[in-house]
This record gives sequence, structure tokens and C-alpha cells, in this order.
Amino acid sequence: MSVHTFTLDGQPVAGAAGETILEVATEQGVSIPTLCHLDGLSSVGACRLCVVEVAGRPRPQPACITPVEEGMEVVTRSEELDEWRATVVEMLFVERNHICSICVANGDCELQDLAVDLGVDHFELPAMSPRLEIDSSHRLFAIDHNRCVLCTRCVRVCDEIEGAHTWDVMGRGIDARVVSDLGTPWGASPTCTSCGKCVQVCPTGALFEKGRAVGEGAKERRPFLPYLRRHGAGTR
Amino acid sequence: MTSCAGDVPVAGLVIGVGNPLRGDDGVGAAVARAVAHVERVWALAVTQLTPELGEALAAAPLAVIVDARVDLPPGSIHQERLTGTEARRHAAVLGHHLAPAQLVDLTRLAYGWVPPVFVVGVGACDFDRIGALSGPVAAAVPDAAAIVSALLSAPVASPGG
Amino acid sequence: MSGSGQDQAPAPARGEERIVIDPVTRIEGHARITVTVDGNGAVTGARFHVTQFRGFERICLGRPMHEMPAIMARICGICPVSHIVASSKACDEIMAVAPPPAAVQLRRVINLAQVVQSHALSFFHLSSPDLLLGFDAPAGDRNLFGVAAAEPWLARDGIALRRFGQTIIETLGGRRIHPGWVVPGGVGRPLEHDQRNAILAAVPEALAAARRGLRWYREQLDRFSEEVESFGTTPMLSMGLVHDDGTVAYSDGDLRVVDGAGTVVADGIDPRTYHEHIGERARPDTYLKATYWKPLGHPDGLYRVGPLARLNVADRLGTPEADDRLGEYRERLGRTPQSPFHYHEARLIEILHGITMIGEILADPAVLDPHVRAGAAVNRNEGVGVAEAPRGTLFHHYRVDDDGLVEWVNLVIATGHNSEAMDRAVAEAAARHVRADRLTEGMLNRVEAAIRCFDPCLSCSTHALGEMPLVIELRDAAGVLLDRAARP
Repeated sequence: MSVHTFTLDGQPVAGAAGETILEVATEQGVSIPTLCHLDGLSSVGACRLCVVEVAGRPRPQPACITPVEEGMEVVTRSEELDEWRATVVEMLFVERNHICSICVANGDCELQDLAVDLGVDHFELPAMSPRLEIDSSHRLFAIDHNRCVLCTRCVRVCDEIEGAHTWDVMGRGIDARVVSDLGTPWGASPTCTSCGKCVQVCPTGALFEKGRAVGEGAKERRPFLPYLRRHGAGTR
Repeated sequence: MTSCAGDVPVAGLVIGVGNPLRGDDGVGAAVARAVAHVERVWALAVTQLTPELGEALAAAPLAVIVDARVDLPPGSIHQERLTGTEARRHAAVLGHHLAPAQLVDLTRLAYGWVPPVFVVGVGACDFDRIGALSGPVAAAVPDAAAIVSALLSAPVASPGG
Repeated sequence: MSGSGQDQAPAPARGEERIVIDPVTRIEGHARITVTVDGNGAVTGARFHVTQFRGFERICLGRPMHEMPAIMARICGICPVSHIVASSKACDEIMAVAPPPAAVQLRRVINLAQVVQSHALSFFHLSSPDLLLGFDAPAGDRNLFGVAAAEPWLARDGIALRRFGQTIIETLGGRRIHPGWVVPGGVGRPLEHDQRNAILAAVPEALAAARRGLRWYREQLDRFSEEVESFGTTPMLSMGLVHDDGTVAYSDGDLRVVDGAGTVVADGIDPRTYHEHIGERARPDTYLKATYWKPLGHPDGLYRVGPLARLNVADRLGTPEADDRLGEYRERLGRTPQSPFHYHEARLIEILHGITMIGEILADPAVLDPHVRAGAAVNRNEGVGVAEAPRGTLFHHYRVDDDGLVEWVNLVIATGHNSEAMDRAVAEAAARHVRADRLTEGMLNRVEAAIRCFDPCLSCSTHALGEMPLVIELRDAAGVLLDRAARP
């Protein structure tokens, strides 16, 4: 296996060919914020939180899908990156309705954690406050589109791990929605196996187990898929 | 927010006043947090001074109230000792929003005793940020915490009134 | 807050004048009083307006049922626990489950703790200044400072009783305000051994404070015979929850209604059928829905709820010492006292009973049972939850679709039940003390004090931003300001 050497925040590091910047950074103990990424699932570079600066490239690059190259100079922390990431989080908040105080995921939410970590304590962008629906037709689970950040973890885990491919994304841009079976109510889905993986990987309270009260939606996002890590053993 | 161990006598009570969701108004809570680890300090963070705090105040040998001030330059620190009876009683119309002097008065009246009370004010300017202090105010937190610690460890003359 | 420019009171008839007290102080929330007087200064009517619109019945449409207790808790920062209990019970109904016995007992404890701390605020912080210093004492003294100066122990006891109740709520619920611990099907976590012991250890001190307060109040009562008489003694129905054995209930039980003479008008009414028995009237000049007992129609069916009414409907409280005090109270005032002034004594007796009951419930080791929650899906599309809030009977009524999403909500709150009773109390207090040509402090305070007997919780959760001035305005029939009195 060929090895690439490059610098990460000024420190010389080495990564195997085919590894992403995020993977090498993780191995090196350098933390990069992520949201749509989940170990064990394919990476799609959708959320843009993991962006890093690569010398010679005009725009920040998503670390989760950018392979390491020989001689690369990668910067994971800078004022501009912090601002970029904070803006991404702010936009996720204002695009839908994230009201932590009544949310099942309060205290166990990756979006909430990111806001705290990145210092997103207020919104300058106007809240869009859309009126979105909840599909509570499934016997065990429900999806509240008000809290969906379109990370597509649910789509990927259902397709890649469970092999059911119940979830997809319909519509574009601001109108995009995660849908079950091309828009069939979840409870009527012929493909859903009710395995609950989508609920477990959801970073917010968008997908939740019915019957859980506020702040009771503790999920097992990380330990859920340890055997699927492609590199190294165990979890972070 | 309590940092005192049950039976160990408390050296001093620190009350940080303000709403951390209102920018620099949270400086009181930030200073209280900063001194909460100091041995035998009982640190409380409250959004406003209420009559209930009289109980804690009466039980402490010394108290420091930390609050944001709009009449000081941002980040500057002012300390004073509340002395004598400043009978500003009239304003307690709703019974749950007190000025430091009122809390001291109420405590003295209800519990017959009040410890020496210092007020440390930190100049504040930006109340729009949720949960964050503005630059100069954040920079003043360690200094304010040091002043509070010094007040708690210095010997104090017995209360005048 | 009310815009002083837009007057929502009904226009007075020709020759009438109107006095507006705006806003009322030392009650929770915002309100305004309009007293209408004729050309001779005689009171022709009174209306108590709530000028804030909250819209909680709309906010929660479409939300999952399990969010309801947390949403409803936000109605009020003073008595969130009662809303959470009523809301969770409505959800129990929708799931068609019976919470485990330990959960039922723990819900009782937290609701009683709420009653104790809220009553302590009402009596010691808000009302005792008037009782101690007199209604005509300078307004600057008639507050907790005046109490602390004259009777320090009274201020201390008020503070200690509030701490007792709030500490229990914090211990069980994890936080003092808006605790998320009472949930559909039961409670979120079992009670720990240490938590139970800590609460039990605090009971004797709280009981001593409750006893002192009650004893002191009784010593003062003789000085207020005029106020007792003038705060609205019109006989009226009382409504409240009672257990099967006739003892007062706070978190369960059935509805009972008694009339002014103590005759039982209705008994054993399943609270889930409240809408068959209680009529609701929306009125154009206030956001408060008024209620009446349907079988008697309006206005004969007007009733009161809250401490006074609970003591009127119950045979007894169920704890020996509080029942002794209740017996003495009835010996002095009759089986069903009618003057709202007696809300104060009823409140103090309830504090004594509440603390005792908390001690009794927690003394039983069964309360430590780890089985505290029942789970189920939606088994009914409708549910009614009821609880006695500190201020009176509270109904939460929800309809949900088959998937558990909320389709319709109706809330009937204590201050709504009491609103017309309060109008009457104000009119009677005003008739005695209001003179069209004289705006005296004593009058102002008696009208307010009559309202404060009911401890109305008006818009809740909005603590005043700064101190609110008290303004009283005298207007002629055309709305022209004739006189105005204000205190800083």
C-alpha cells in the first residue's frame, strides 16, 4: 500500500493512499467537526462542516471526501474556517424549527453540540419558520421534518447497512425532504423493516422513537456500527 | 452551582446576578463560575436577586454580589462595600426583584444579621448575544474573579450596622 | 401588556363613570380592573380584564402527544407542575394506561410541593403585608420589607416554606421550573433512597413554619371583619376534586360541587366528563374564558375553585392535624365559608396538610418502587387530564389522530373558573370603598386585595420587567379623564 506524507496544521503526517483527510486527522487525534459523516457509512460531503483549507486550492475542501495527497498542506483550524462552520450551523438552525426545550433529543443532539462547540449562540439570519409536518404513522417511530438537517445518514444506513433502501431525498434545495418509499407514509412503507437504524443514526430529534418524552431520546450513534470501520480497530 | 462541601464552614458566598442568555448580563454568572472551585466558596448564579437569597446570605460570613453595570466602561470593574441601612424598600412591588442593598436590608430585617457584603460591578455593553460575553467583558472575568477571591480571603472589619 | 389607549371595557351608560385600575400589582401576570360607577358614585359593576393573549391551544396543534407536558409546562413559571401533571394524565388517558402505584404517589408529592410553595408565595410574600400592616398603611411599607421589619419570623417562614416546596420539585423533577420528570404513563425516574430521606428530614421544620403562620393569621383575623364582609360574600357554588372517601384530592379523584349552604349539588362526577357539566363563555373584553356549572345555567351556576372551594367540597383533608384546624375553621366560619377573604386561611391549612401528606406518602417504602412508568401507543383519540393546581381545578383536554399527533386542545384553568367570582368580589369591595370623587389608597388596595384573595395567575411566566406602577383612572361617560391617582 502506498503512503502519502503531507502536513496537517503544520505537523508532518502520513496516510495510506485512498484515505481521506478526515480519516488521517482522526487517527492523528486532530478533531474536525462533522455532521453528515458517520463512521461505517459512505461519505457524501453534504453538510460542509468538516471543511479544511488545502494550500493551492481556491475553496475550503470537505475533509470527509477529500483524499490525502503527497505534499498536501492542510489546515483544520482558522478564524475563517470557524466562521464558515458557524455559518453552516446557523443556516441549519434558521432553515427549520429547532426548539430544544421541547425536543426529544434535547441534551443528546449533534446539532446542539455543534452550536455549543462553535459558539453559535444567536442567529443573525432571519428564521424561516416553515410549517412542516410530522409523519407519525409508523408503529414505533416518527419523523419530524422540522428538525431534519438533511444529513442523509438515514438514507445511507438504510441502503448500505440494512439493505432496505426505504429512505430517499425528494425535492431540491430548500424544498428537499427525506421521504420513505417515494412519499408513502412511513407506516405504510412496504420496504421498511422497522429495524430502527435510521433513528439511531439521526443526529437530531428528527427521527425518534415514539413514546419518548422531552430529552429522553438518547441514541447510540457511535457504538452502533463499530464493526464497519474500514481502518483501525474500535471506535474513537 | 454549589461548591461548598456539607460540613466545612463556608468562607464566603458569591452571588452572580444576571441572565447568561442576555450577553454581557451573564458576566455575574461567569465570575461566579470562575470562583466556584475555590475552596470553601459557595457560588450561586441567579438571574435576579430574590428574597429567598436572604437565607443563604444570612448563613454566610461574607458575601460578594457580582453584577453587570451599564454605567461603567465595558470591562472595567468597580467594587464597593455596602454599608449601613440604605432603606430603599419601596420598590419591591412584586416581591421578587431586588437591588443588592434591598437584599441586604431584607436579610438584616428578617434574619437579624447580615454579613459584610461587597458588590463587584463589571461594565457591560452588549446584551444581544445569547450566552456569550463581548470581548472586553469576557477579558475582565479573570480580573473580576481575582478581585472576588481577594475579597473572600482578606480579613474584614465586622459589619457596621 | 395592555395598551392604555385602547380601552376594552364596555362603554359605560349615560351618567356613569368608570374607574380603571391598571395594572394590578402583587399578583402574577398582568391585569386591569374597571369599576363602573353612576353619577352618584354608586358602583354599578366591575370587570377584571386579562389583557394578554397566549395561544397555547394553537401552538401545540400537530405536535406529538408526548411533547405536550413539556409544551404545557411553559404556560406558567409559577405552577408548571400542575400543568405537567394534568397534561400527563390526559396522555395517560389517550394511551389508556394506569401509571404504576409509585408513579401515582410521586406525582402527588410533586403536585403537593407545588401547592405548598405557591401558597407560601401568595400568603407570606404577597398578602401578609396587608394583613400585618393594614390596608391603609403606606404602600412603601406594605411589602415583604415591612413584614421583615415588623415580624421577621414571618418573612423567614415564607422563605423557608417556598424553599421546602421548590427543593422537592428540584429533587424529583431535576429542576425548579418546568421539570420534565412527570411524563405520559408515569414519571421519568424512580425516587432514590437519599432523595426521599432528604425530603423527609425537611418536613418537621416546614410543619413548624406552617403552624406558626396559621396561628398568626388567626390572631389577625378579628381586625379584618370589615374586609371579610366586603370581599364578596354572595353565596356561590364551590368545585373541587375529592377522593372516594371524601378527602381532598389534588392529583386524582372525582369532581364534587357544593352550594353556598353546604348542600352537595353534584358528586362523583368523572372529571373526564367535565364538558358535560361545565359551560364556557368567551367574553369580548377579556381573554379569560369564564365558566359556569351547566345544570344551573348562568349566572346561578357560577362557582369558585381553589383552596376555599377545596375545603368547602371535601368532607375532610385526611391528615389529623390539618383536619383539626379545618374543624376549628368550620366551627368559626360555618361549613362552607363564602367570603373570598377566607382563601387565606384555607391556603394556610392546605400548606399544613400538604407538608403532612408529603411526609406520609414518602414514609411508605413502596414509593421507592423502581417501576414508575407504563408505556403504550395511542389507544384512544381523546383524553382529559385533571389536577388541582394551587389556584384550583385544572383541565387539559386533548384530541389526537391515530398516530398520536395533537388535533385539538382545550384548557380550562383555575383563574377562568374563578373569573366571574372575582368580578363579583371586586364589585362588592368597590361598593364599600370606592367613591367616585375620592381615589383613596385604602380603596385601591381593598379592591386589589379582594382580587389577591383568589391568587389569580393571569398570563403566567411573564415576570414583570421592572416594577409596575399602579394607576387608577376616573373617566366620565365619554371616556374623558376626570381624575387620576398613581403610585410609584
